[in-house]
Amino acid sequence: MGAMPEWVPETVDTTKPSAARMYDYYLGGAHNFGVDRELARQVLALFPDGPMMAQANRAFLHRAVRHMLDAGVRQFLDIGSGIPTSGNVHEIAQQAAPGARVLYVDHDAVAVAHSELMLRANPDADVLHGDLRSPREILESPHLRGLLDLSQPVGVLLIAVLHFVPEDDGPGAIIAELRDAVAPGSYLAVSHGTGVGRTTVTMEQLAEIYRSTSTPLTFRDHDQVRELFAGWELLDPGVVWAPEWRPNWHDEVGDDPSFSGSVAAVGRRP
Amino acid sequence: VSDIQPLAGVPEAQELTTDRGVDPAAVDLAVFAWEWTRVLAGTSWVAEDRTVVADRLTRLTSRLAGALRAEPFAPEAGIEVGEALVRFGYVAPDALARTVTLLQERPLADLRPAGTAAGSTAAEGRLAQLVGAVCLGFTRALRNRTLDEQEAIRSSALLAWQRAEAALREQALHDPLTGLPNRAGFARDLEPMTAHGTTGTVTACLLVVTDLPAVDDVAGREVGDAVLRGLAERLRSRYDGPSELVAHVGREEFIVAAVDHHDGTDTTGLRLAGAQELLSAPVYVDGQRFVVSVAAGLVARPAGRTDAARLLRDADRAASWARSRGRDAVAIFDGARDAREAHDRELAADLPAAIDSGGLAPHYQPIVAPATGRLVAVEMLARWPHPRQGLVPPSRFLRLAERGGLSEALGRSLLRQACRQAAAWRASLAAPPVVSVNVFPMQLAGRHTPGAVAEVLDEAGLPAPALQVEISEQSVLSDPRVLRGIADLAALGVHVVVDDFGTGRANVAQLAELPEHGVRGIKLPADFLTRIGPDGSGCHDTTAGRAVRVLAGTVDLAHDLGLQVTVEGVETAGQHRLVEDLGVDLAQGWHHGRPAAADATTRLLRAQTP
Repeated sequence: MGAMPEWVPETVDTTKPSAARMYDYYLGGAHNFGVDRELARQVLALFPDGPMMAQANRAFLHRAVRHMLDAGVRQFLDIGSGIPTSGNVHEIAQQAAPGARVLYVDHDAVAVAHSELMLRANPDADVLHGDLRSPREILESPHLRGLLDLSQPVGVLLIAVLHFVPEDDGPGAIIAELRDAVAPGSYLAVSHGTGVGRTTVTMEQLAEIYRSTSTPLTFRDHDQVRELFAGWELLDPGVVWAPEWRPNWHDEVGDDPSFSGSVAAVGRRP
Repeated sequence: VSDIQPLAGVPEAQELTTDRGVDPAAVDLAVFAWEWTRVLAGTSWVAEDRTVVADRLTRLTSRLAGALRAEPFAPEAGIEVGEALVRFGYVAPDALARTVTLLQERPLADLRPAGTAAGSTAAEGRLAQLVGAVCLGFTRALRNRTLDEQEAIRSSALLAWQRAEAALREQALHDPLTGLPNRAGFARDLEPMTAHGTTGTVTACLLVVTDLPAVDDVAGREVGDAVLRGLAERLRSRYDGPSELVAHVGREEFIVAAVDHHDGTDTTGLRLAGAQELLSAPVYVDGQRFVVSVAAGLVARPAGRTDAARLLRDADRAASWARSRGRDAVAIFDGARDAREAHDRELAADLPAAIDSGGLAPHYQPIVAPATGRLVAVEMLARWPHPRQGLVPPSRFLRLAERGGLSEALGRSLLRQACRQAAAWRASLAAPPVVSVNVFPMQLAGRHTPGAVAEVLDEAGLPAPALQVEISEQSVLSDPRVLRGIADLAALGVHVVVDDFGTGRANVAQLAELPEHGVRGIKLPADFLTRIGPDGSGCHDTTAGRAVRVLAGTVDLAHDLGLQVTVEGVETAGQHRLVEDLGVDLAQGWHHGRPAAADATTRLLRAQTP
């Protein structure tokens, strides 16, 4: 008997810009199309530091994952993983702990297909076409159940993805659902785009650019990000600018870490 | 160097000491690598920690320095260094620009080949070639990487697109409510089981949840949906074998099908019919209990000679039979019954158009006065020459007309045609026949019939006495409405006779009442003559003999009451002689002529000498 498709398919339209491929462009990748680059260049005109911001974000992801690995976490759920780029979570994790398992989740069908092609030979990493806004579907998917053991701690990674979740979709409830599904000792890493320190006009222009993608932006400040960690114990130094979160080298933070445009934090489920 | 901040994590020059003291060349290398790490930082996303990066760049610095010093000079090392930068992730154009600037400005320029002076032409020449080689290696590697990534993202987009298309196709084959295959999905899934040349038997059972519309109406459609999901789940878990299928083929219809490669199809049929019981068990939705009634239709076919559409159709027929039989019935498909019903459906569908277009052609059967042998009347008998089913007998289309509420329209159409024809004969013949028309009892019970008859007569310009109306005795004569109708017709001057006398519920005793209601005659059916036999005679003590006496007695009795007698079914000369001898007023039967179309009847009438 033919089984019902797991997700509701949508047509793949590469004439529509994708936030995942734009991010790849900021990081210097060529996994993008003309429409993505055109929009990304508009963003870079507004934020000439765009590549640095993306790198700072990416570097935070690395530090957070390493911290979780040091704490003994051996499985990761990376939601909003986007286009795979060098130094992916499974690369870091499996290098540090062979056999560590990683499930990537993204709602961008092209990003998912790309991840799939890349992970074909990796039995401990998989990708799921899913949407952060439907956490139950992610948690109950056979992909997740087949790879992750939710009775053991999981490193949940929500890197540069929550600013694509508007208030109407209840980001707090989404995170709470993820929190309740994972075992005590699990970690949550969040990095989040913020307008703190920038002019309203600039942020509105940025939001306007992203409106033509399928993922409009919602910016949040430190306090709002802290609220998302309800029920998690925030690790030191709390919610900070992404480069400030446990830098490897003191000079990485620089004079003004707000250049990163991202606030970040890691919490532990007690 | 003074304006440059120290970079944490990169070896300081003073660490590069050996047992024999500071190695100036090593210091130069380290300073350059340190500086290089610093200028590249931030140009590109590089996952590795800066200690790893510094280590890598130190090795690249050594390669460059080695190349500058080497004899003979081998600038190819620069190509490898350029390629390595890209490989390490320094893919931003700025990374190359900063590298080139650094090579020109920083101490590496001092790593001159032995025997050449700093800033000498020879040293400058070597450096320029080396820088060119680095650019070549970098741009070539970056170009390849870009092209590879573009190819990869395009392949991914294509794969994603194919996936989405396939998922859409798959989704179109499923019912979103239950997740089961829908009608199209059932056809797709059944196809391999019924491919040409497949042996075995495919059995299907269509289950109609007959109460579902009531559940939808009373409890709401959401509850109806929940009930359906519950039922779907039961079917899915019971019929999960490799050659079993379950599908949701209509809001309240499921189908289960199985292919059996042995001939034990009875057990398969039983197993599938068990679905009915399975679904009849209570379903709970939010604590509310629902028990639904399910009609089941079973059909079995040789697997290689059927398809989903036929199976669904036939199972659906059978289920409709089950449904008409009552709650929770099961019916098995019967081809003969289906063919009959299909023909009926076709006729029923064609009937309205046939009535409107005069496709039901009146035929006329001669009625003869035995005394003179003259054709004095004709009975109009409707015939329906159907384009596919041939000549359809009145018994069939009358029944269909009645079922379809078309009796009145049909009766009126035939009456109108008959009256027009009668008027035409009156205009062209010296001795035009009376035209006798059957009127359905239902029609006569309707209030409008006498008025409608008067209207049609008027329209055709036909005097009432030229029309005879035959009313079948069956079931009519006890109904006061019918009796009133007869009286009204008689009052118009129409000649009313009772047809098929003696076959219905009325008995001979009622004969006495007929004249007072306005009935002018009776028609005796062919049964009377059939019992007598073709030669029209019989010995006194045989059945035939007794039948002659019955006929004679009936004729006498009717005459006694002033009723005209017509005998039908006169097929032989012997029978004709008999009715003549008995003094029967009118005779009708194949002996005098079969029903014929208007043209042929006109010729027959003309042939009669006045």
